[in-house]
Amino acid sequence: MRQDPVLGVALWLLTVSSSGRDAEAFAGDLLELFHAGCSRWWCLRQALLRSGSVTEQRLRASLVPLCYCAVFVLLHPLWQQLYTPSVAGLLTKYRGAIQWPGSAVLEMIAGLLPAFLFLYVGVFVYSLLRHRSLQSHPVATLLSLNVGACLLFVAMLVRLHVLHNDLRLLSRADFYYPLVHGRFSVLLFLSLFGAVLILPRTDQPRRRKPSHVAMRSMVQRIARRFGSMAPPDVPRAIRRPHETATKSLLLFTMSER
Amino acid sequence: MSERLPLNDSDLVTLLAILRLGDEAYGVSLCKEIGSITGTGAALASVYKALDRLEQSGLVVSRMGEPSPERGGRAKRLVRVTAKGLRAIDETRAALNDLWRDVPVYGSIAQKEKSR
Repeated sequence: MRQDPVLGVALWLLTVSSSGRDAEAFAGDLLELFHAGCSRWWCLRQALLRSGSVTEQRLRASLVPLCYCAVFVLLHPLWQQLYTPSVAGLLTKYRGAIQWPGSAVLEMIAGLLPAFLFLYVGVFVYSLLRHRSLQSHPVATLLSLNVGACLLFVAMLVRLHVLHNDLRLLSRADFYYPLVHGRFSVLLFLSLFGAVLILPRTDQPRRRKPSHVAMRSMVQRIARRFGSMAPPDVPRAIRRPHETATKSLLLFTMSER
Repeated sequence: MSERLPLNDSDLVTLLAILRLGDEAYGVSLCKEIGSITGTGAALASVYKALDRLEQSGLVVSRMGEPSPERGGRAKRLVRVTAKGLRAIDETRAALNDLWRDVPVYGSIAQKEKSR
């Protein structure tokens, strides 16, 4: 059976705009309603509305990271103030000693390494602020950090391309002033944004222990401490009163619940 | 609705429709059920938007059903109300009952005035 072209467009729109599971369910519902007598134009309108809604949700979700990245990149001059003296000192020390192309590599490292560190600090601060877990999804986190690093590396390649791929013309000034060099600033922003978007969400909010469980574990801790405080030469029979006391305290707290 | 109410109109109607349908709550059946509750037809896109919002708030959970040939081999997105959702419904009901307390039934008053 040949599919209606308008319905085909509606289903294609859903596949393009939504993720797999969601698109599948919505497309199935749309087909069911079409067979139940809904017009093809109604189906197309629903698909358009759904695509708009999904796009709006995605945009809204990426608004916070977008603003965060813009603000964080604005802090880059402060970061430069921190590292510029030490990097400049290092470069002055080794510039004469290292021949080209080693000197150019040194310039590149001096330019990119602080930018990488700035990016990593940005990702770390974001994960703290938005309660994103860096530990529970190590692979995704690593991917996130590497996406940022790769984008910065691309930034360097772009800069090299502008300099007609001549490493000798590359200087640390090409990396140092992102607000002056707009392109570097934009790439720094994109690197951070890409890294932050990939960062995984924490699946479950950290749950607090219920008060009675916390109380019981506290009593057990105290009981253990009392047990360990008893001198080793004290016979076991003498230790028992403490144990019975802690046991009765435990039972009391449990019955109180 | 009032700020005291945990659920707005559309969320409450959607949750009640899911509860009415039980295990058979999915996009198409919800559209029909909401249509029968409100008296006007509900758009599939709006139902899905409400479901997304409710799922993000943890008030409903969804799972995929079995694919069927009449749906072009596509599976249904079956939804059910969570314990949090049930609590929110109860709280909304209590808040609405509080709002209605001490408010007379105006229909009977109007009838009395008419009979005079």
